[in-house]
Amino acid sequence: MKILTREAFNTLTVNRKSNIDKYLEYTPWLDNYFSGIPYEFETNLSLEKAPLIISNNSKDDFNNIKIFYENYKELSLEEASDARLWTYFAHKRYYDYTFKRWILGSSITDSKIRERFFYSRTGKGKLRNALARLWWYGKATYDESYEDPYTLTKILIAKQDIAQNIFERNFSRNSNLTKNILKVIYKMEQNNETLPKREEFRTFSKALIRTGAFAITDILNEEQIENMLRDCIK
Amino acid sequence: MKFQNKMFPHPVLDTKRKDFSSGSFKLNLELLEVKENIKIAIKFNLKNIAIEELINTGIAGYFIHFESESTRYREIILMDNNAEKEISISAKILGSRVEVAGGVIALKKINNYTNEFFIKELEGIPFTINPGELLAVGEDQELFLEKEDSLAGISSIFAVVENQDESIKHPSWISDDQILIKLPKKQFESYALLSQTPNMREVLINMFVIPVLVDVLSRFRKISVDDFNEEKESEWGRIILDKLEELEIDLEIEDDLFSTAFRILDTLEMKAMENLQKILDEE
Repeated sequence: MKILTREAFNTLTVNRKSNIDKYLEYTPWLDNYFSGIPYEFETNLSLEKAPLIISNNSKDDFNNIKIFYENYKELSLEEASDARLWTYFAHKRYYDYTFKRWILGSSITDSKIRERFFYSRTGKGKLRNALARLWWYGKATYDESYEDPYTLTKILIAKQDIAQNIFERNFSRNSNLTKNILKVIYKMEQNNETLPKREEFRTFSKALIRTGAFAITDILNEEQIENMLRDCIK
Repeated sequence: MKFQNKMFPHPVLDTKRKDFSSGSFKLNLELLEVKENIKIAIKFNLKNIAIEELINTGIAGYFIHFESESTRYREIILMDNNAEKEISISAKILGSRVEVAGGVIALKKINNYTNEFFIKELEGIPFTINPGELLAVGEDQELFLEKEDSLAGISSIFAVVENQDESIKHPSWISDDQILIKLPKKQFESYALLSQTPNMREVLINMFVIPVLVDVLSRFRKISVDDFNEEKESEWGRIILDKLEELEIDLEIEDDLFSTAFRILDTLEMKAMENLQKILDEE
């Protein structure tokens, strides 16, 4: 599997604004752009290309997470934190997907290019890259204790506002805590209970942050999370 | 996660807080090995009878907390009543910067918590401590791991890149790993050609690095604590900030940033001058 060279990554990063029109092209343009200068190199990972559904419909996100994460499950956290990999995927290996999902049919802006085609290890950036978000959502929700290990992924994707609310908070870096939150919602859904509304979930999220101000939320178990969430539902 | 700056609704034993009249709590951390696994020796030193009792009866316990933002890794390890432990974590799940915090945590609800060493103002006040709340906290620490792909040295935290649109006049650009120095097409072509000359690359880089480094230092001088921590997340930020610390340079009182830039470069990379000498010797 190939990724961008450091030099090519730097060139694309620095010249992002002046390259904006290139992102309107229907096919990958790196070959022409670098015209003979080597811009990619072979890593020691041999992972086939994942057959993503090329679509701009967010309803395909769930299946694409499954397909993508299944394919790249063996990436380590360290490898998955390499900006050159995600930038290469968006610009070359999965340009068709990135273009269709995030560019085609909508206005093009520099911030959209930065978020969807590039990758930042800090802050929320890692969950914005077109491909990295598929992997990180899969990584955070994949749970083999369920018959379908993507059960929690489905919960996350069905409620995009919940996904955003969870993943943009620091507490979500603890995978047990994230899974416990999703397990509670899954259980509520199985019991045909009314699921927390956007505002209610936001209240819960704030309560969790407040608790984290003087306690360690990482040790909260499913039952404690459930009690906290139910307290926030009117 | 950082614990020491948090505000607690109950007394917490730590070196910075003044909730206790005597006693102490310390976390000692030793990085033993950085290979496929990172091995760390953890040792807590607690001096407070009441908290010790809570630990020995299983009501409270020692914990250590690791967090690496770049890899989204965060984990708490409960150590119960073991004040010492050697922990091994796969290097593949950690970024180059890892925040480590440790302390004593309540494992069960504690009603009417008091401590004979509370300061006078808190004497006799009973506190309710819920599971997960802290009783003692050690100094927040950071581990910087030199990874195989990690960038080390000044020449690798700066890179020279072609600026393809000269109407956009940013002299430098900052990414997670490097400070990118943008040169107009013609200058970049000359740079690319000259840099193929043996020993010339370091000389050229330093020509461009000094002014950019002065700019970066002046930026550091203005930033807040939060921004400062964010800069430490990047490879280039960490290396420069570590060098400032090593050289005991306080940017708030340092007037001459130009000399400071030279001092940083001197300690990080003397190659440029040596190489310039070699080039002159060859001629």
